[in-house]
Amino acid sequence: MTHTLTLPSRAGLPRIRAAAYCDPVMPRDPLAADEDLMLAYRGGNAAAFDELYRRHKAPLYRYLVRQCRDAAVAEELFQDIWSNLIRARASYTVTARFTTYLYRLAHNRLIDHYRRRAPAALVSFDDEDAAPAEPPAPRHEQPDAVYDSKQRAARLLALLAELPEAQREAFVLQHESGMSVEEIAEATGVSRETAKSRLRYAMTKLRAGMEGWL
Amino acid sequence: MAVNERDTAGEDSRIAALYREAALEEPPPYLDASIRRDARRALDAPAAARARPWWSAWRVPVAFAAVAVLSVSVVAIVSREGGEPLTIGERVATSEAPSAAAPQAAPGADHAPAETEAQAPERTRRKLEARQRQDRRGDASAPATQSAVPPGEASAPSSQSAAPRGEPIAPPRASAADASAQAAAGASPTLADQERSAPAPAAEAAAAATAPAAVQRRRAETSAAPAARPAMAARNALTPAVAAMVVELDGRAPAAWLERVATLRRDGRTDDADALLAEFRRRYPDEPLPEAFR
Repeated sequence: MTHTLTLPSRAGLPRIRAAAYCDPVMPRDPLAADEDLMLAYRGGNAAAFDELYRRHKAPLYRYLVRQCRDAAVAEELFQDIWSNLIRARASYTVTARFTTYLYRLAHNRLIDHYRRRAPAALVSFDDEDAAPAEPPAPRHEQPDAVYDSKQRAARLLALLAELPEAQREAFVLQHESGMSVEEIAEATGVSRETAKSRLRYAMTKLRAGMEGWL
Repeated sequence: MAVNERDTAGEDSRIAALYREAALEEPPPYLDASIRRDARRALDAPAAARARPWWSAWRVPVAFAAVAVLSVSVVAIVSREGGEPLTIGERVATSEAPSAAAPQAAPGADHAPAETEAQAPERTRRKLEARQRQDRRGDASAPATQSAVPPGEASAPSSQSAAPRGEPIAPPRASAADASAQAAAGASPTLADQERSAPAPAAEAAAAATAPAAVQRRRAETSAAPAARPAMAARNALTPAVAAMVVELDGRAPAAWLERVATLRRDGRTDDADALLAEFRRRYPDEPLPEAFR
């Protein structure tokens, strides 16, 4: 049976209405806000979770892959984060964008992972003024000048992997989930200025590393 | 400056586009299926929780009700058995010999609480009188004072202060063969104290050697009718000499009691005479007293 519920547009949906919303949601409704889907799932609608998962699975997975640099660990953390979300559904209330909520869970799970397995990785979260990693040589210094887009992408990912954890996290959050500086700050538990600084450092290093490649 | 910013923005947008081209990883399908299955299972879990047995819903109310009933019962029992308030005379006596009254109070408290309440004013009055007599005699005649003061109110030895209200428990013995003798020897400080306060003067000397006799006497007292127990308790409160007279006069006519009181007064033993008269009044409250005794 297909639920045919028409939701108001997200812009016209008052926040208080969203908080009280528990009706079934039509799957793949492009107008349904993430928060509404999560509330619908809390109310027992499994299709709402499917839609929510479809929207966020790839960006979240890539965020974890970038941060862990290990696909197996990323898969484990990915499953943990969604399991935590499922368990916390009963207490979910709309206090921020769902994306911020989801990546806050992901960030906390990552920190736990770092603490257990690689405490040294935590250092780079505080290493704001660390010297930039030595980027690969600019294109004009490379012996072979044949670079297609695949090679440029690989170089960008390599440069990204060289960034400190916190700076890389800020970059990935912005480019995967479209989060603003404020939302990045909220998701990672730092001040707005810190998040902005991390993002600026990351972009500066990436620009320097991609000089002549873009 | 503006040109630099425009170049930076252009580079940033190219980096973003390049990142979108490069970052194409997706979670494996088995992970998708697993997470979706977990999400559906979680929604089914409350239905399983609802399938609990019918009585589980009553656990908390029943627990609260049980606690309330127990609390009310305990309060009711404590308030009923809380006993009489202490009078000033009892406070004085209790502070001097806190445990001395325990052997006296135990039988009455255990078997006839109403009777004990009825006797409480009389007992208090007698204690006050004894206390006043002790004060009059002064510290110089301390031994005599000790004999004049009822044993129950005298300074109790440490073993007395440690004695419980009820029958003391004999310590464990090594052999069963001499169990009876050991039980007699283990007749406990409380029993020995009662022997000291017994009416016969020979009972004062009855220690461990006379333990079997003490045990028999104790058993006889224990098996006596409840009505006789207050009398025994009162007798224990008298001096040995007066207690002996009480035993001697027990069951005789009131005139014999009054004659003995008059004899004591003639001999100058006014304290003993008063104590014996008080015991007479306690036993024969309706008997008219001669003019000389009023």
